[in-house]
Amino acid sequence: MKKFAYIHKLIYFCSVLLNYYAMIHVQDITFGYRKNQKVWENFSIEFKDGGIYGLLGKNGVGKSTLLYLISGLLRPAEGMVDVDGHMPHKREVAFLQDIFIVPEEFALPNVSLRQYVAAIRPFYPNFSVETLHMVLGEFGMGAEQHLGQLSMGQKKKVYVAVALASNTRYLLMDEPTNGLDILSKKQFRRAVVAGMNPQKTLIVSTHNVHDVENLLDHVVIVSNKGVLLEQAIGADSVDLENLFVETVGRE
Amino acid sequence: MKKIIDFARWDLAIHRNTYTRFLWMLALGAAVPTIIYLISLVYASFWGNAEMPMLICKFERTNREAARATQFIIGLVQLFSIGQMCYTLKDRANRLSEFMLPASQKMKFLWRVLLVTVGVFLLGQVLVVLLGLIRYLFTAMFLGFDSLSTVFYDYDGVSFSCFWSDIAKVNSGISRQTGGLVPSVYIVLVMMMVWGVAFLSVYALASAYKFSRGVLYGTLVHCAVFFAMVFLLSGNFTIFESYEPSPRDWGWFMYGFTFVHLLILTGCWWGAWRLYRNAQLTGRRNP
Repeated sequence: MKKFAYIHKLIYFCSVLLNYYAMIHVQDITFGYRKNQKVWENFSIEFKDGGIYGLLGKNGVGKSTLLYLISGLLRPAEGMVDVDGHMPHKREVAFLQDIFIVPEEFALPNVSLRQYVAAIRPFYPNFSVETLHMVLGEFGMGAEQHLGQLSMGQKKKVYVAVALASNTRYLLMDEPTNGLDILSKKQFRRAVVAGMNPQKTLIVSTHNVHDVENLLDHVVIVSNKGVLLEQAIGADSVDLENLFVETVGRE
Repeated sequence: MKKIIDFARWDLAIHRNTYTRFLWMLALGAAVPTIIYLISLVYASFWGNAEMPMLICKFERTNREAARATQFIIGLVQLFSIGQMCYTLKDRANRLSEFMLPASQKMKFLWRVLLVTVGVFLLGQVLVVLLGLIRYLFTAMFLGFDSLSTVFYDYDGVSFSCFWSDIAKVNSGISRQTGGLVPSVYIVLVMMMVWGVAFLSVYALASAYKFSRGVLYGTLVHCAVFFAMVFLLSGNFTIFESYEPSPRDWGWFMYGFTFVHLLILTGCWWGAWRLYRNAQLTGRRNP
């Protein structure tokens, strides 16, 4: 890991010189939950400035793991993860203030939303209560909620609203539409559009491509062997499902 | 200072249920002797045997085995309650919340240290004082205010399981034996070390991602450490039966003992910090 600290500094320096810098830079990482079972091996990927990325892949390929590695919740056994010059696994305050992850399974305490926001707000300098209310409005929810009395889907809406209101530069979402009904999925798309801006980068890992295909600026399809496809989505609509099937099928 | 207060507010708000459960367990453990005493008051009140509560007080005070047994129960519950502190990191969701909160690792760890050492200690003392006051109040209600004088002079309910009273007794004993060579601050530091070891044992095991078993094993480990310390400090130096150390030897023994344990304390906290700093979301796919 130490040798990659030097490589990380070298890459950062060179990229600044070239006036080109991938905001999220994953370089030759190897990671596994067990010694003989690697999830990622010599895997590299980059997520460039701004936009909404869709991270697609087969079940169990390691999409969630990749998000956890980017957010610093996991540490690669080999290789390097660099997010705007920070090494995520060190969990520096400046890095944590610029990233928010909405995991597939999360915990909300048994307190009112007001108390929850009051507790976490001091940690996010750009937290916007107006954005929170706006996004909750898109979800058809009020600000006076008690988190312990909400259903799973409602909790997810609140969590997404808090994530967008934190105004962090990077937003990672793992299966954000799981547990949402059809109407809520539509509300989710509207909420994301309302809460995003060009300075933010959103990476959405999902199987439900139809839920997010109208949101995405880029699609990234991964497998155990690496990145199968990385494509910008222009103004023309793209059938992500067919694209995914063709890409994975070719592999 | 503001940052640690913010983190403390977050921790207490988010994990309110865990800490409430911990508080009730701690209170229940400390309340065991008081509950016994209150039952004796009810018995005395209904069966007219006013001697029973006084006998219990005298029994508690004069019977070392009863005192040790009661302290064992209190200590066991309190130590297990400390293990409950690590339940705030018991699953992925809670670990994710804590690890991703934009606060420095050092500050998060410092808060946990303060909570386990100073917080539990102060809470324990407050509970003991409150329970002592409850004893006085119910004694007056059931047996009349006149009985308070007997209780007060024959038995000080507050001092029965009062940490400082026990420390003072142990300290005076050792001070007598060492000819005043060992100041009391060492005794306090050694006792604080007990909690440090307890914290490390629980956290070390918990950080191995087997949180529920870790809490159980940690509780057993620090029970053993706790009672080893109580045994050594209570004057039960049976290993020295055939040897009568001089006060000077006792002094060197206690200084060396304390120095070694201060080293262990420092190592424990350093190790706990390393574990906390390097902790990951999970070591298994589905913990």
